[in-house]
Amino acid sequence: MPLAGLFSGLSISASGMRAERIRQDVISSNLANAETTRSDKGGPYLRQFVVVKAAADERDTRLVDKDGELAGASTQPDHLPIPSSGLPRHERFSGCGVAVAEIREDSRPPKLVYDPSHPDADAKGYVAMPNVNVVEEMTDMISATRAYEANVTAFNATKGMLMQGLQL
Amino acid sequence: MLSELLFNKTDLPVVTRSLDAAMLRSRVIANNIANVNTPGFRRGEVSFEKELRQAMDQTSLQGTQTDSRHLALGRPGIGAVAPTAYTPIDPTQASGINNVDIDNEMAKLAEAQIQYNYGIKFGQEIFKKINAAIEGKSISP
Repeated sequence: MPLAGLFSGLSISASGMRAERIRQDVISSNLANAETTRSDKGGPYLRQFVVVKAAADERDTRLVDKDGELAGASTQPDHLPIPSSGLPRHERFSGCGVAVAEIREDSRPPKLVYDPSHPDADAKGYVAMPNVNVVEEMTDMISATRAYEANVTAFNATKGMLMQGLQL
Repeated sequence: MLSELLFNKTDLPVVTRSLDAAMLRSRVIANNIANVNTPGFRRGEVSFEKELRQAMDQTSLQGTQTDSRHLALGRPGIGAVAPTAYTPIDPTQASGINNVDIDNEMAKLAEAQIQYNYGIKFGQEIFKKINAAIEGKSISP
């Protein structure tokens, strides 16, 4: 393996599984609090969402950096190529999975529902309900589940390859 | 020493390169899959087959390096072929938030897995043949 450690493929998939699980946790919290009108900060519960970012690995960029190498240019078909391992038109790869950058609160305004009998109703009889859209949460949940499954498949594929490697 | 005399005369160097490539490829694909929901992420790829084909092209000239300061000339040797991970320039947004197409990644993952298993099988055969040669036996079919 030219890059990083032997088991880094597994840890990349694990980071993906972790990110999707946190997404799933946050969705569960949103669904559980879909009707919560009181929170610690006052006012109704606000929908939360996960912000993920690609985790970059310094080590990888350095190993793949081949800008310092000399490259020959062939301008005639009978020129001998001076091979260069650099990939001029491409950018260098650096990746070691995904990381949860933050869990943020949705800034959309709370839904106002007319219910004068509710203890949290304002003077006009409106209750501020959480800005959680259950349908949106459900679709996000499907997306998170499928992404988690994809990561499990990738994990198993890498694991299978490592186990096969022992057979050589 | 032994590798110069024995292993490098077989297809083993090619097999190990190919295993390296398949492993790196599975890693890069795992990274693409892990970032399937990351906005603005750009998928990575591994380049290897073209370089290997160039190195194995017996019709092209190959320069010999007798000094570490010599420039490599002509086709690179098998030893110089290494899989390289890179980020292709691809401004499309296949999934709406990034350019990761999950079906494509899963297909490529299966492909890398099969390539790796094939390399292992091929390597096993090579070792079987070397063992047979050492022991002076014929290979049982």
